[in-house]
Order: sequence, then C-alpha cells, then structure tokens
Amino acid sequence: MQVIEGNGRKNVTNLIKNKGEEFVRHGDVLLVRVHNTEEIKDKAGKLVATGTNIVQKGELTGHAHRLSSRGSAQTEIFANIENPDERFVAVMGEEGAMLTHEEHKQVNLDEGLYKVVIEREFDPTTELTQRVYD
Amino acid sequence: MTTNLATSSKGRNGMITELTPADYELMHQTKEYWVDRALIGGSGNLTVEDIRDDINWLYKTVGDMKTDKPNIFFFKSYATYQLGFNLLKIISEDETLKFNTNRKNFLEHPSMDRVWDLLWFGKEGKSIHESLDSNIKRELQEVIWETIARSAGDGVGMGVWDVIRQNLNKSVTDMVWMNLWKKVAIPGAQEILSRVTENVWNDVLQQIADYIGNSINVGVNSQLQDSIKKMLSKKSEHLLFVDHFIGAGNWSGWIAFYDFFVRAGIIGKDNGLPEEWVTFRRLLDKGIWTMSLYDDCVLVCTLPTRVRRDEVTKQLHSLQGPAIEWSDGTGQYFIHGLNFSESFIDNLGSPPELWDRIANGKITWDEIFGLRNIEQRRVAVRVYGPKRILQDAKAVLIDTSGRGNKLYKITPQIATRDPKTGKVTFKADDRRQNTDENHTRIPEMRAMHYRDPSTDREYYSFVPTNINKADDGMSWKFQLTPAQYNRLKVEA
Repeated sequence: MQVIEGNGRKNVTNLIKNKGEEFVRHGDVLLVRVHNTEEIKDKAGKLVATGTNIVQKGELTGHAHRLSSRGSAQTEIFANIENPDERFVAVMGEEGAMLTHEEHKQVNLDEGLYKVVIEREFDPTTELTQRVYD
Repeated sequence: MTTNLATSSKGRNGMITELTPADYELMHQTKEYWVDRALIGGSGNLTVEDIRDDINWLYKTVGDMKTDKPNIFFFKSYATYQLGFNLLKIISEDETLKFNTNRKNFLEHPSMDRVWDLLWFGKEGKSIHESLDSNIKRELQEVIWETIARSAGDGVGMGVWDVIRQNLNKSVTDMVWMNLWKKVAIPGAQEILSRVTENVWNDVLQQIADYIGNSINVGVNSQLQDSIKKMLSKKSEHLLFVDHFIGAGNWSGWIAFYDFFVRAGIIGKDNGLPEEWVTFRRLLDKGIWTMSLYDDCVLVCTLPTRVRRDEVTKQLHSLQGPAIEWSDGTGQYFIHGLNFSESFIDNLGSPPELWDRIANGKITWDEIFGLRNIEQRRVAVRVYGPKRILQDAKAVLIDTSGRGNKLYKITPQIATRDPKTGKVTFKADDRRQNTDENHTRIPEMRAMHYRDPSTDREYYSFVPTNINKADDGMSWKFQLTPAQYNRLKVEA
C-alpha cells in the first residue's frame, strides 16, 4: 500500500508485520500495530506525512509525546487527509524508535506501522464520549 | 508554499479535475492561516491610522458616496463597539446633550454621567454605571471624541451631532457589499471555474469555506453576538444591537476560499484577480473583526486577542479566563460552549461569579444541584470532575483489577432544593419522584481510579454505566476489547 509523503509516494506494506509488540501505551496515547493491509486498505492514497515528530500534544501543559528514531532507522507520522485526527506512526528500520514525554517514561517501538489511539472519557451528564486532554 | 495546480491531474481541455495531496496540504495551510488570524491573531496594536487608507479606498471604489474619507470610530472589543454605537445615538438624539464643548468637557462634564445613566437605565430604574470600570467608560468617550474632533476641530457644535444622527440612519453596507461582489467575487469565480471542474470547486468550498464558516461564524461569532444581545436586552429595551458583519468574524471563509486559489496560482494579479480583492484581503488581514458602514462614518471592531476553545469539540471554553479576550481587557466567559457572560458587568468587568466558582473549583456538590439551569449543572458537573464526585457522592468501589485499576459506582440520587432556603438534600432515587425545578435526578455513574505506570500519578475518569469490571473500563478508554487489553504489556 502506498501512502503519500512530501512530493512522492512511499510504500509501507513492508512495515505491516506480525512480530513485535501488539500494543504500546504511553500515557494517554496507545499505539496499535497494523497487522495486515486489510486494516488500512480504505486509506490508500489518503495518508499524508505530517512533517512533525509530535504524536500528541497536551493542550493545557504544552507537553508532547515525541517520536524519534534510533540509529539509522527512520520515523514518520501520517495523517488521513480526509480526517486529520486519524494518524499512523511508521517506524522504518530494525533499530526501531522511541516515544518520549516530559511526564512519562520512554518506551521503545519496534519496526512497523501503528495506528494512534487517544484515550477517551465518558461524560455522564450527556452520555457523550470525548477525547482526554491534559 | 505555492502549488501550481496546473500541473495536477488534468482532464480534457486542461481543466483541473482533481486535487493532489499537495493541494490538500495547501488547503490545510490556508484555512489554518485564516482561522488562526481571526481567533488568535489580534495583537491589540492595530490603530485607526493603519486602516484609514484601505477604508477610504473601500468607499472610493463604490463611487457615488457622500465621502470617500469617512470618520472611523475604532473599538477594541465587540461589547464597546455595540456600546459605542448606542452612545453615539443617545448623544446625537438627545437635544439636551448636544452641548458645544471641548475635549475636557466631553470627557469630564457631569452631563456625561446622564449619558451613561441613559445607557444603563433598565427596567429596574437603577443606574449602575458607577460599577463599570471607569477606564472602559473613559476609553469609549475618548474614541468618540477623538474621531469627531479630528474632522470637526476642538470645538464640537450641535451641527456635528446632527450629522452623526443622520449618518447612523443611513447604512451604505449594501452598496459596499454589492461593489465587492461585482468587482471581486464574480470575476474571481468565473476565472476559477474556467480552470477547475465543479467537483474541485465544491471540494475546496467544503474543506475551506464551510470549515471556516463553522469554526468562526457559527462556533464563535454567533455566540459572541448572542452574549452581547443578551447584555443589551437585559438592561434596556431601547438599546440596539447593530452590526453589518463585514470583517473576519463573518467573511474569513470567503476570503480564505479565494486565497487558496491565489496561493495555488489559479487566479492572480494578471488573471481574474482585481486590485479590489488584494486591498480587501489586506484590510481584513490587518485585523478587523467586523465593521458597520454608514454614509459618513464607519464603526470598526478589531480582532479579539485570543479565542480559547475545547480542542476536540471546538466549543468556546476556558477555565483560565475569558474564552473570547479583547485588547481592552474585556471578554466573554464560556465553559464547554455555555455562556456565562450575560450582563454588562460580565462582558465588561470582572469574571462572572458563577463562572469563577465553577472554573476555580469553589462550587460545591450541593450548589451544583441548587442551580436551576440544567446546562449550568451539566458543565459544573463536568468541571467538578470524577475525583471530587467520588468523594462527595459517596461512591461505592465495585471492582479492583490485578493491574491496580479501580472502578466505582455512584448510585442514582434525587437532589431536592428547598425553594425558601436554597438548601439541597440528597436521597436515593427510587424512581418515584418526578423531576421539576426543585428536584433533579442525578444519574447512575461509573468512574475509574487508575495510576500511570511510569509516574504513579493518579487519574480519575468516567466510563459508561454498562461497565462492571475495572479493566473493562480501561479497555473501553483505549477502544480495545478486554482480551486485547489483557495483551497490553508495554505501558509507560
């Protein structure tokens, strides 16, 4: 499957793996490994590189979950052009990457493609679900 | 960044038939620019001289106007913009107030107290102008004086006020708008539609114009107007709400729509984009929230210095200060989209008392259910938060997981308010009591108490009421099944 990065296109099919951690939680951010192309086939051609290394930023504190690569590996964060809140993290290279945050311990990420899920909470007065913000 | 859409996907006759990812990125940049410009771009440094030439140009291009150098009354907040209009009307229509005076008299003459009394005198028959910040009053008077004196000299006679009274009854906004439509909107649209297909036009319209319309016009401006209308109507039935809506508050979507095609190279100075667009864009970009245009004068309101919204819902919201803040220090207070600024003092003075009690954690559980307004109760509960509710509502622990997550239940209750004393009591809800203004049903709630594995910090959070196991609550929060949550090994 190809996503779009900058002026060209990038094939991320080889990042879709079944090995490595399935879920990685970092504070209010959960990364869910994409196991097969079926999971994202409706997003072909719609994911655009954001050009940032910030996975999620806290509105009130300004603190951020930042992605950085290890060694010669590369990382990229993609957003769905039709729904910019839907994002994916790509870690390209066996050395992997890490997530850091001012208030959480660092976690390591193996090579792969991950969907970003933000913790949600429930509003009992309206019975609505909203995203957590810190 | 400029993208030449001419190199994008093309169909027959060189028409652009679809947008590329680079075009979407440019659309994103364009709409973010105009939303940020309107909502966080006001510096408070804009002066009337910065916009005088452009406003004169606006009048000049229409042609057949009484003047192409109108007087500009320049206000730094929407509340003072509305008050300024009413002040001008009151003074110009009251024979006893149109005194021949100089600057000192206009700013300090005791007769001005009567003007403010006329403004504030509501059905209560009690003037409250003493409560208003004297700086706000003085600043308003100075704005009016400086503008009039600029054209009439230091001694302002009755004739000047007669002219103002006549001006305020003759709007020229329609003429200006028609001129812009004829010279800017139509030629620009024709040029764009000669280069892109209708589906591209509609895509940009939806992604930019509609998006900005929802963000600014609906999400901010209409609520700001409601707040000010309530302020005016509460005090006096003869105070008018007046706005001609020419500015970033209403027109950002339209400007941004055309701006995208300019940035993309579709229209420009040499193809379909008249000088009028360039000047109008510059005028709005300088920082005008709204304007009302009259025969010989313009009332201008500059941009707010900051608009604070809920990141996710985009509703007006702030617990730190006004959600809409202006450079003269005034503001409108909202919590999760609910307006707390309804009076003059709320809009022009200190933070509204109820906003302060909710935002700063001063409100108690009893007080929340003493509130008559259901929307106020809703936002108060939300801000009060699950941690305090667990303590005050006598929550019951129903499950603790091996990971240390805890799930609590708050049983349904009825809050009864004594109409005479205002005291609130609580009892279990047996579903036999009907709700009314003195009886409020507090629904069953579920709340999680959990710790961050890496910092050990404690968190509290509501989850749906069909959750009965603590780990199920956590799996719900991360949109996992319980089985998936069990497989979560890496947490920090």
